[in-house]
Amino acid sequence: MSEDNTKTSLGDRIERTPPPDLKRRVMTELAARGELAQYDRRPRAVIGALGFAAGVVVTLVAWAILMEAGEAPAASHALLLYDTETVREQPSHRLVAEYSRWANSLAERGMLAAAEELGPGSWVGNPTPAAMQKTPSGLFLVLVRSDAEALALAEASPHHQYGGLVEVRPIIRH
Amino acid sequence: MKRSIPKLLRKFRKTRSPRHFAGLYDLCTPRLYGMALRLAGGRRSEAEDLVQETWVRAVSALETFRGDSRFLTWLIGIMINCNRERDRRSARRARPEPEIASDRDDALDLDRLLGELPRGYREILLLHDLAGYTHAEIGEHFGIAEGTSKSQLSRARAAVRALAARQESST
Repeated sequence: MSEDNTKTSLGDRIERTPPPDLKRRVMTELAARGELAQYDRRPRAVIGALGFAAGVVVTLVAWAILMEAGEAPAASHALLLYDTETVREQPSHRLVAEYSRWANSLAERGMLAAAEELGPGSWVGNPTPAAMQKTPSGLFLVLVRSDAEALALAEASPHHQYGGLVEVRPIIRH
Repeated sequence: MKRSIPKLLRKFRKTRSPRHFAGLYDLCTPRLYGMALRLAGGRRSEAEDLVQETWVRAVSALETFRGDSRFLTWLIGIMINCNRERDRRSARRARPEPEIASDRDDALDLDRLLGELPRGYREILLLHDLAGYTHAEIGEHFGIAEGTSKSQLSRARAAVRALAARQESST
């Protein structure tokens, strides 16, 4: 085999079609690092904002997750976020960065179905004062294989890292 | 309008717009991914990570691209460096079997052949024969003499032929 023949036979074969979701992964990572002006491709599922409100002090944490519409996985667990004083004390820009990074990493791995802010609730029936005190401020719907994995996710969440409470509940489907 | 890498690159540098990046990505990534698959010995997830890391590094270092070489050549140089660092990090632990899939058996054989080559041979063969690097560019990239690059390539090709012959005789 001559050198030229070797070159031709190899050179014809270099291109391979990359997996379709790789582009989204790359662009999500670049957006998270601030390397893209604004990743504003539509349609997409917007994973909106998570808010923390306490008294007159409102800390708003918002992020946008770059997911193509229809790509969100079916969730296996819900992570319910409850505020604590330590969370409320954090500067909002820090929370924005931390939650963005974490949510992006979940989305990239196909583990995030939704992340939503929950506003103040209204009750029907006769809740006890204790029940009324326990209201989640945010919600993540995630796809994992086990309760243990969901708990590990919750432990790794910035909400937990900043001293917030995270309740992990499996989603029951009949 | 026909898109070209230099035009998109100019626009992306100016605007950092996702649209222009997406254009660059579409034009460059099939070749990058092909290269990554071969560097990763056919392991898809590793190749995907390699492509992602290459783009992230390239975009963050875009201002250092002077245009002396082709953009794709520059990207592949970054990929080779990323791969070396990954290799060092993992210290070549026992690796799983290649999971590459192809609709062409001959392509599969080629990938296996390349995967069996020592890393140095594989890199030079990929850079010269697949990526179109000149020996001068390879020499500059690895800090070796042009003549060394030539002799390494020659040995790499001999190794491919030997491996191919061994593969044929075993089937």
